[in-house]
Amino acid sequence: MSTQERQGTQSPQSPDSPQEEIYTWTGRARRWLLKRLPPQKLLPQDQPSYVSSWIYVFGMASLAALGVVIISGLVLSLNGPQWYHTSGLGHFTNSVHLWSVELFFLLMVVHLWGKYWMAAWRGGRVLTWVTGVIAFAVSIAAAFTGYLLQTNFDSQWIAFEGKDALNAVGIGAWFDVADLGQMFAWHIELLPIGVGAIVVLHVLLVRVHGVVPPIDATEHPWNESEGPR
Amino acid sequence: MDIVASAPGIYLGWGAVTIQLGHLIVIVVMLVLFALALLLPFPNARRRR
Amino acid sequence: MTRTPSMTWKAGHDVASRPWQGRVRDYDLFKEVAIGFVVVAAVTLGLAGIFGSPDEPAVTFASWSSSDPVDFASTATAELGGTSDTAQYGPPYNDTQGATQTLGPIDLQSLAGVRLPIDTATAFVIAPLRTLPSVPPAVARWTSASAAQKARWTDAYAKALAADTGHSLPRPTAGEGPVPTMIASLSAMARSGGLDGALAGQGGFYPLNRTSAILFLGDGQYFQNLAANQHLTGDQWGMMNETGNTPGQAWLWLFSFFYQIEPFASLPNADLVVVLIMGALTLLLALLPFIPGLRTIPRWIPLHRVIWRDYYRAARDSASTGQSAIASSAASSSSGLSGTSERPPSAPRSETG
Repeated sequence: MSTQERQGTQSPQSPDSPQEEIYTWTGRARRWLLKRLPPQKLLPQDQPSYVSSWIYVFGMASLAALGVVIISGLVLSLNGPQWYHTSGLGHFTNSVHLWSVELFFLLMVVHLWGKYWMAAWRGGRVLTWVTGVIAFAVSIAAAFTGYLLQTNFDSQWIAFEGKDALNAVGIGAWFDVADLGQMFAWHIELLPIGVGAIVVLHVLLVRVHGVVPPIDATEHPWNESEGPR
Repeated sequence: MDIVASAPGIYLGWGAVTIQLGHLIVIVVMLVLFALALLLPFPNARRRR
Repeated sequence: MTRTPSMTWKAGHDVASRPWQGRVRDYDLFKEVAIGFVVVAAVTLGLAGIFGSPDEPAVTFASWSSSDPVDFASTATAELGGTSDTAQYGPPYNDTQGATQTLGPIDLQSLAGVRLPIDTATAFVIAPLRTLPSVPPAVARWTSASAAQKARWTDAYAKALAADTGHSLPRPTAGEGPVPTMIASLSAMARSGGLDGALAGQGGFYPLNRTSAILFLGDGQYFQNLAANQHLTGDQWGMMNETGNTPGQAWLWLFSFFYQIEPFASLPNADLVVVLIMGALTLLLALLPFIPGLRTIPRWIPLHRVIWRDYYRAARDSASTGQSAIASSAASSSSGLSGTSERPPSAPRSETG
């Protein structure tokens, strides 16, 4: 690594200014990232004119519901697993957590329906679709572990029934649904991190590729943007 | 507050299929939201330029 | 230029594969996030306030043995005799031969081996009895007997219990050996709450592992009946249902569906089969963009014409007023335009300031 001082420019206008050499892993990574997702794409002030339907709000709404899930979950976990049985506020927080999860899945599925009928994987957006499905699957696992932590009759029954599916595929020994300690690790750390990471990747992919144009769309002369200011 | 949640579940049944009322409502809400999202007019954005 | 099928996932030279050069509208990302969050949070708080959430208290051995002493005693006898579902489960709890769920040569259940070993006679009956201040002498008589003798005793008592239609345990007979006394002690221990404590405490001072207790509970009819009353068993779409009167895991509907229909409902390896089917379907959903036919359905059933009707209408109007020679040649009363009328690409918008 060179210790020589370099006349590098800090200008953010282009991925790397003409005079800056890229000579490190970090530099190469930065150049690649900024090429794929420059700030204007990450946080735009406009969107294509065809994004004009209420179906487009369901992705954002799912994210909002996920936010409520996480916040209410934090309150529940910080107060310990028995708190909500005896505290009025605890019980209300538990209700918020339950309904935000129901809303999350409801909104996410309507979002999925919309994306399917729009064939949103077109134009190289297959990874956006795949990460979306993975997010759905991991969310189902996260919800399942949540039900196991209720420390009431429902969690007893779900543990008793759920063990059969897991044992049948040989993973029940490592994923013991009746072991509260294990299930807490999955539900409040590992799976939220998993869901979070996949969702972040999914959203970034949408920003990288842009919202998919209509099927059979064209850019007509009349359709030309009057130019950004 | 919990009168609804703690009451015995309301189950509707036709032959082999029984569905909890809450689930039926969820399904109907999803279909209605999807239909509304497709059909309701979207306001034209204000254009700066 | 040959036209690529427009439903492909591949990035090509079509409009979908490059940054949009056409008309844009104002868009405030952060404002939309903020409004979305407020609306969703408000709806959630409203639902939580109006409907609440169920919290059915957990079943205890105390409540079980008080409510249904004969069922408790029958289950405990089966655990002692090694004839209960748990005792015959196979991996990961024990190595009962032929107990695993297999599909042809596939035997995933055996893969883990016996990693959560549970000897039901010891874990559920003998060990808890040994925690009593004065251990019943019957325990010593039991442990010093032969396996064949133990089997005769538990068998005889199980028959007596099965014939018992009352609410109290049958009078012991000689052919049942020390078993009735042991079961009676265990029942008394359960009624007092001592069994809940003993089973929990097997993990030491900090009992978070409830595997033994859940398995013991599940072997009984009492627990199953409670679940059936709330529509929670496998053949009642139970997987997606919730106690009380709220929606449960509605997204498990397809998983739950398979357990309702033949042939899956009566398969001995139903769990393995259904899990594999659901895994395959999920993979299919994830790889949908690669599947011709499935990925072309949106074109055949054009809901997208409703979603993007503003765009298609504007495109049609513009074309019909003859804005460009190419566009007007493709214009017709039918909706949509094929993708050859394109303006020369300008510099990608992302690099402008």
